[in-house]
Amino acid sequence: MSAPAIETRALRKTFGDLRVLDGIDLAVAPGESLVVIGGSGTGKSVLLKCILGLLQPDGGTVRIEGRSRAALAPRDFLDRVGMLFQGGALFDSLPVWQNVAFRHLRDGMARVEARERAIETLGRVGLPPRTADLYPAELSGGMQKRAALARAIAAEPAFLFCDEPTAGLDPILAGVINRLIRDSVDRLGATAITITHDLTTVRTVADRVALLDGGRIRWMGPAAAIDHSGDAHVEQFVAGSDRGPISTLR
Amino acid sequence: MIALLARIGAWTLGGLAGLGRFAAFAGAAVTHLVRPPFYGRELAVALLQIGWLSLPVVGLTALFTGGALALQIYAGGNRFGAEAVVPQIVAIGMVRELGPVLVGLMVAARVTSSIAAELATMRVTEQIDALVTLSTDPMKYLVLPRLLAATLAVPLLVGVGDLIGILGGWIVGTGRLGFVSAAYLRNTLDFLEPLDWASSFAKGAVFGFLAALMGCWFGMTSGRGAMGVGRATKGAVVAAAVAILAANLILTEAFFSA
Ligand SMILES: Nc1ncnc2c1ncn2[C@@H]1O[C@H](COP(=O)(O)OP(=O)(O)OP(=O)(O)O)[C@@H](O)[C@H]1O
Ligand SMILES: [Mg+2]
Repeated sequence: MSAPAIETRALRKTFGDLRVLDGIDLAVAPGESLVVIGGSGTGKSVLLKCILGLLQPDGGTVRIEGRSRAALAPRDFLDRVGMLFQGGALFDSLPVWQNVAFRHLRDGMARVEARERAIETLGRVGLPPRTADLYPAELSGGMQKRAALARAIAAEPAFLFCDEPTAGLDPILAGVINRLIRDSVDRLGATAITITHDLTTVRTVADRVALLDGGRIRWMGPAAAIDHSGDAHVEQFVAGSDRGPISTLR
Repeated sequence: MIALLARIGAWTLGGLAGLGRFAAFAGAAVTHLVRPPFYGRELAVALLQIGWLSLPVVGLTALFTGGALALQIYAGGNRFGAEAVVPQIVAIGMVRELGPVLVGLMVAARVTSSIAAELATMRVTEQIDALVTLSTDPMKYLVLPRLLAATLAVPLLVGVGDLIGILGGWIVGTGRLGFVSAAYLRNTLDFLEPLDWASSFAKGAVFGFLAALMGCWFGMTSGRGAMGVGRATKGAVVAAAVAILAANLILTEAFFSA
């Protein structure tokens, strides 16, 4: 069996005395789509940033295709990554199309072609061509999120990380986005980790689901199992109940 | 007492560690000069921002200062019958000292602040993290172009400032103090030596580098939120101004003490 595309072992991260990640063991197979759920403030975004190397973990290891992430050259990892930040993180000094075409422009693609490709990618997230020349600050929150997703998928990444891709979107567009992520996995063979609070996203995007709570993976199982997991954490999350093992004070 | 000593020790260690990180940052930034890829477009934008768009403020500062300098030297020289040296002293004062320092301080005000605020905002809104995930090194894409542009453009700004300062002195000297235009200019040109100009440009390059370096360092290491951006900007401008004045003393010593 080949090495997992993404693997973490005993990953730990603390901020001051706040223990956010307390021994995370994850393995995502090549071409698999993992969805991470869990209460707000439980460390999902921190987990993604530790995997990407944007935050330095306090302990544990991150391996990409069997090799230590810290030792990888850009062409082995970051060149193949697409990341959608929870806050979008579009470059506000560049127009939308240059955000989307960032990698292409940097790698020397002709501007006319890069622009055409960017407009095509914007179309895939449901943004009309007229948005291409606007600046990020001129877009609505949901439009910014979609433009940021367009930037993440523009170069057909082998590793796709999405932090709450459908937050703030109407259900119709959320459906478009969910299918787009699923499509990246199915059609392009990407390995994906998606963070979400949206159960529709869980059901459409996930091969497997991991529930994060108290700094650990409390439950992990196939997407189809979340409705009859037999796990109190998952049941509470799916039911949206304030009673259960997941604290509402965090 | 022990607690106080421990506190002082901790501050000292913290300060040294910070200084070490700063030195490592500066060193790393400079090594990117010789390691591709290079971002030419970013450099062009930075040159425009730092050099070209600073011209008005630099010109006005130098013009007023050159004029005031002429008045002061005339009034001061009058006390011992030496008012004829106005052209020479204005020239040497502008080129050796006031031109570089004033331009350096104006660049600290205009350029350092904007670099620090821009990079700090990018830090706070995760745009710098986003750059990393797009496998673009922020040191190369953000820091190096600004450092390089400032180091190249500020000497030219200083040259322009020197000339406009001399022009300010000439305007006041011929308009108010009764100097003859041709004689004023000849006295100025005959008096200045190549070393005066060399020191002016060298100071400009060092001050430009320091101004951009402080902006980049404080911006890249900014704390969170709007307060973090404000702190970074304030810290950068103060550090740049102090560093420029200190470097000025050292460079003046190096060029002219003999
Ligand atoms: N840079 C940081 N410095 C200090 N604390 C941080 C930092 N980043 C995150 N935290 C803390 O870590 C915890 C987890 O944050 P994280 O952003 O990962 O939550 P999350 O699970 O993504 O929540 P949400 O679903 O609301 O986005 C929070 O308590 C937060 O305060
Ligand atoms: Mg989050």
